[in-house]
Amino acid sequence: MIPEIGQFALILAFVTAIYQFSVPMYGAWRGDSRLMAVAPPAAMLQFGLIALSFACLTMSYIASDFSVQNVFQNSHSDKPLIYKISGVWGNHEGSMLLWVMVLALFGSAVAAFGGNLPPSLKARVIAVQGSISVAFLSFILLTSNPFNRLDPAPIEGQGLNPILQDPALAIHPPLLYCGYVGLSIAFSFAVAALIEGKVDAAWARWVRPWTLAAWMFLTAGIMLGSWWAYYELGWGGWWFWDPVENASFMPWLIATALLHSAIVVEKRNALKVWTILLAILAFSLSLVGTFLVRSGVLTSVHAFAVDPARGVYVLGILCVFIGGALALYAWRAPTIKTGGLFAPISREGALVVNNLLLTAACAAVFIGTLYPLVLESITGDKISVGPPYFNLTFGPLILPLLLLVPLGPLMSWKRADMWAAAQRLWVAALIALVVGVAALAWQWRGPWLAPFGAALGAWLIAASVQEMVARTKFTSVPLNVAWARLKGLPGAAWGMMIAHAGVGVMVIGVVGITAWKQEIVTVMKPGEVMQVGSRSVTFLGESPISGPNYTADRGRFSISSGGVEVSEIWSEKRVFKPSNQPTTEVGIEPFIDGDLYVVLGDRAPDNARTIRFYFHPLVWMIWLGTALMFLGGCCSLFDRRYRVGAPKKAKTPIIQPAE
Amino acid sequence: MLLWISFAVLTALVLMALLSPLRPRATSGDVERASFDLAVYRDQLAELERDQKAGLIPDSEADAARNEVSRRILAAQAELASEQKAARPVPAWLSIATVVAVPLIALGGYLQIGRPDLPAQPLQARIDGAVASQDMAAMVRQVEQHLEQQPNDARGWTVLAPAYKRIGRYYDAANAYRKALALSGPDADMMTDMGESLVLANNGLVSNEAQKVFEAVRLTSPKHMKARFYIALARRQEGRTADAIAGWTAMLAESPPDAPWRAAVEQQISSAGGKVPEAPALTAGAMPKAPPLAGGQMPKGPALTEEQIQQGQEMSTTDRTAMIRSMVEGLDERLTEDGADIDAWLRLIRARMVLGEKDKAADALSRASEALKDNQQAVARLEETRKALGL
Repeated sequence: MIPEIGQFALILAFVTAIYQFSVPMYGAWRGDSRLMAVAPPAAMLQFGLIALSFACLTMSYIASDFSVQNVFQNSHSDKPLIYKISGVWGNHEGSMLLWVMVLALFGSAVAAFGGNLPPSLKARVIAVQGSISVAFLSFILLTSNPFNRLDPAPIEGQGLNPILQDPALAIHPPLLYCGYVGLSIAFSFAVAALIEGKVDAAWARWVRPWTLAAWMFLTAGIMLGSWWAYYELGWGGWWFWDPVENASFMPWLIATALLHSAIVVEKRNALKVWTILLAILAFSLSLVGTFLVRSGVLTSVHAFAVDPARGVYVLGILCVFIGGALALYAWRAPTIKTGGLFAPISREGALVVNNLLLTAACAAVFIGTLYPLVLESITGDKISVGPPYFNLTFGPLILPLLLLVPLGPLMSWKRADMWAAAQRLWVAALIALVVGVAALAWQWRGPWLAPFGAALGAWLIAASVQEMVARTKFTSVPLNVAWARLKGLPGAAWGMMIAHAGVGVMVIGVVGITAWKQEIVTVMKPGEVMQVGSRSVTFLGESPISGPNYTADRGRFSISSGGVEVSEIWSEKRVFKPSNQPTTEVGIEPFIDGDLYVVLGDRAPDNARTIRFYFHPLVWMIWLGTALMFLGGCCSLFDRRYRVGAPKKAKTPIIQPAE
Repeated sequence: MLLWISFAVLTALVLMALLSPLRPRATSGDVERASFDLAVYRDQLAELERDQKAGLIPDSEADAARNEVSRRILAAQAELASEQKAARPVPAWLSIATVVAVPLIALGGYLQIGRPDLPAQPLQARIDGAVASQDMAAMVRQVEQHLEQQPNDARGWTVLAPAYKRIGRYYDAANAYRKALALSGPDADMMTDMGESLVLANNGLVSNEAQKVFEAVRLTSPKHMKARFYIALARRQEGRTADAIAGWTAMLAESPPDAPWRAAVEQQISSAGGKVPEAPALTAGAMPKAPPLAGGQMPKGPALTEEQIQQGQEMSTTDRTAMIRSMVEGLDERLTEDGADIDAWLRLIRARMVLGEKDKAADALSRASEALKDNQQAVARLEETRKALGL
C-alpha cells in the first residue's frame, strides 16, 4: 500500500501544481484578490503531497521493498541504513523526486514568508513556480516514475554503486539541488516582474536573499562534491573541469553575479533589467545542468540518442522555460522603468564590471563544456576540453576580477574616486607584495604565476581585514568604542568581508595544490620507507578487513617527521559484495602545511604494492575558503533589513521624509 | 479497500485546501500595492539613520541617499492615491471545475500507471510469510537466514538444496547438497542430485567431478537409475557412444514399462544413433505421459556426431559451450525452415533452457506451437513441456 500511496500523492501533487499555476495567474490578471489568495495554500499543499510521496519512497527503501523497481535497482538488504536512505536520491528517478520536492519547498517558503510582497506579485511568483513543478512532475510521471512496480518481486536488490556509498555524497546532491532549485525563485520573481511590467521595491529585497540562499547551497554542494572527488576518487586532484562539475559551476558564477547586481537594484533602483536577465540566466543554467547530468548526454551523445525519451523531455522543458522567459524578456523588458543614474567610476560601476567578468567567465566555461558535445553530435568527432583550455580562458577573466574585488566596497555610490579608494588599500598592497616575494623566495623554481597567485590571495584577505579595521576605526578610537562599532556592523557588511576573505583563502589553497603539488609513484614492500616532502612514510604492511558489505585489503602506513612518529594512516582497496566492484579508500593525514595523501595500488611481486604518494600543500585552505564564503552568505542572509514587515491595512500612511 | 479509502481522504483534503480561499466569506486583506513599496522605503530610511549614527557612511552620502529615498516615497504616495480596487465575485464555474477535475485527473492518471492490486512487499515481512504465500525465493531466503545462524543444521541444507535447484542456482544447489551430505552422511539420492546440479551448472556437460559422484553412487547402489543415466551420458560426451547406448539399453531392460524416465532414455538412445528396444507394454503411437527425468530440466543437447564429440574433447570448457551453442543455433535455423519434427523442437527448447536462455526457450515453444498447431499430440506434448519447464 505504501508505494501506491506515494504514487497517488505524486499524481495529486501534479494536479495541485496545475491549479497553483493557472488559478493565481488568472486571478492576478483579473485583479481578483480571492483567486490570488489560492496561491499560498496550493503551494504548501503541493509541497506536502510531494513530501508524502518522498516519504513513501524512503519507507520502501528502508523496508527493502523490492516490488518497487527503483528500490530493486538501487538498494540491497545488506546496505547500512544511512545508505539505504541516501539511495533514495542516489539514482535518476529518486533524485528527480528530490528535485521537485525542493522546488515545492521553495515555493511554499514564498507562500509562508511572502507577507510583505504585493499580492499580485506574490500570486504570480507562486504561479510561475507552479508551472515549473507541472513540467517536472509530468516528466517524472511520464518518463521516470520512481513507483514503477515489479511483479513478481525479486528477493534481492541490485545494490548502490559502492563508490557512491559515502557520507559526503549522501548530502551532496540535496545541497546542490537546494542551490539549483533555489535559483528558481529568482527566476520566478524575474518572470513575475516581467508579466507585471514593474519592479517593486520589495522585489530586490526578495530576490537577493533568495539568490543568496541558493548561492550558499550551491557553494556548499560544489565544495562537498569537490571534497568527495578529492578523497574518494583517489586521483589526487580537487577540481577536474569535468562537465558534471561545470554544470554546477556555471549557475554558481551567474548566481554570484546576480547577488551582486541585486544590491544595485535594492540600493539604487538601477540595473533592474540586467538583474532580471541574470535571474533568468541563472536558473536556465541550472536547467541546463540538470539536462546535462540527467539526460546521459555527457556519457556519450550516442547513449543519449539510443534512449532519448528522457533527454528529449528535459530538452523540451528547457526550451519552453528558457525560450519562453527570454521571449517574455525581449517583449516586456523595455516597458520596465529604469531608475537611478551613476557614473562609470562608482560602486555601481564596479559591480557592473564584476558582473561582466563573471558572465564572461561563465560563457567560457559554457563553451568549453558544450562545444565537445555539439561537435560530437554534428561531426561525430570526440574531443575533450581539459584544464589547458580553462586556464587560458577562465583564468584571464577571473584574475582581474579578483584583483579588483577589494576596490569595489571602498567606492561610494553614484560617483567615486578610484585613486582615493586604491590609496586606502596601501597596507593590503604591501602585505600582498611581501607574501608574493616570500613565495617567490621559497619556491623560486616554481611556475611564475604561483607567487602572483599567493600575493593575490593575501591581497584579498588583507584588504578584507583592513576594511573591517577601517569601518570600526580600531586604530583611532578606544577599544570599547571599536568593539561596539564592530558589533553594530550590519550583517551584509560582515558577510561581504568574510566572503571576500574566503575567496582569498581559497585562491592561496588553489595555488598551493596546483603549483606546488608533489607526486610519487613507487613499488614498496612492507617495512620500506619513502620520503615525501619533509616527512618519511613507512609501509607497515597490509591485512584483510571485512566491512558491513565489503571486504578489503588495508595497507597501513606510519608517518614520521624529524625521526618522530606522528601518526598512522591507512588506505584500502575494497571489493563490494553485491557487485564485486572494487574501490579505493585514500589515506589522508592533514598537516598545517598540507595533506599527505596515500593511495594503495595494485599488488606487485614479493608481497609488494604499487603505492602513490601525494603531498598537497595548503589544500585545506580551499575548503576553509569555501566555508568562509558560505559563512559570509549566512551573515548577509541574516541582515536585519530583510525583515521588513507587511504593511497593515491602513489608509494614508504619514511619511516625514527628512530633507 | 484501505487503499481506496486513503486515496479518497487525500483527495478530500486536497479539495478542501484548494477551495477554502474561494469561500464567499473568506477574507483577504486588500492592501494597496504602493503601500508595500512604502514599507520598504521606510525601512531603508531607518537603515540609513542607523548607518549614519554608527558612522558607517559619511554624512554627505547619507543625505544624498535620503533625498533619493524620499523622492521614491513621494512617488509611491502619489500612486497610492490613484489606485482603485474593485472586488468581484469568484466565478462559480471555477469551484465546480475544481471539484470535478481534481479527482478525475488524479484517479485517471493513477489507473494508468498505478498498481492498486499489488501490495507492498517489505523484505522481512515477505520472508516471514514465505511459506504461507508459497514464495519460493523468499523461502530460500528464510532458510538461508536460518542457516547463517545455525550452519550445522543438516535438515536446513537438505531443504535448501532442491530449492536452489528449482530456481536455477545450480552451483549453490551443488554446494548445499555437499554441506547436507557432509553433515548427515552419504545418501544415494542426495549424491545423485548433487551430481545433477553440477551437470546443470555446467550447461549440461558431465564434468569429472560430477562423474565421480555418480560412480560413487553406483558403487553403493548399483540400481540407481538416475546415476546410471548420467554415467551413460558422460560416456557419450566422452565419445564412447557404444558404451553409452549399452548403459541406456540396460536401464530400459530393467525399467518397468511405465517408468517415468523411459521417454528420456529412449530419446537419448535414438539421438545417439542406437536402436530403441521395444517397450513391452507400450502400444505403438502412445506417447509417454511421464514428465522427463530430472524434474523437467533434463539436459538434452542436440545430436552430436562422433566427430563433433572428438573435437569437443580437445576443447576447453568455454569453447565447448560455444560449440554447443553453435549447434543449438543450427538446430534453431533448421527448425525455422522446416518445423514438422516435434522431437527436434523439444530438443531445442530444452537445450535453450539448459543454456539458461529462458526467453529463447519460450520463443521456440511458441514457434513450435505455431508450426505444429494441426498436430493434436504434438500440441499436447508441447503443453506438457511448457508446464514442466515453467515457461
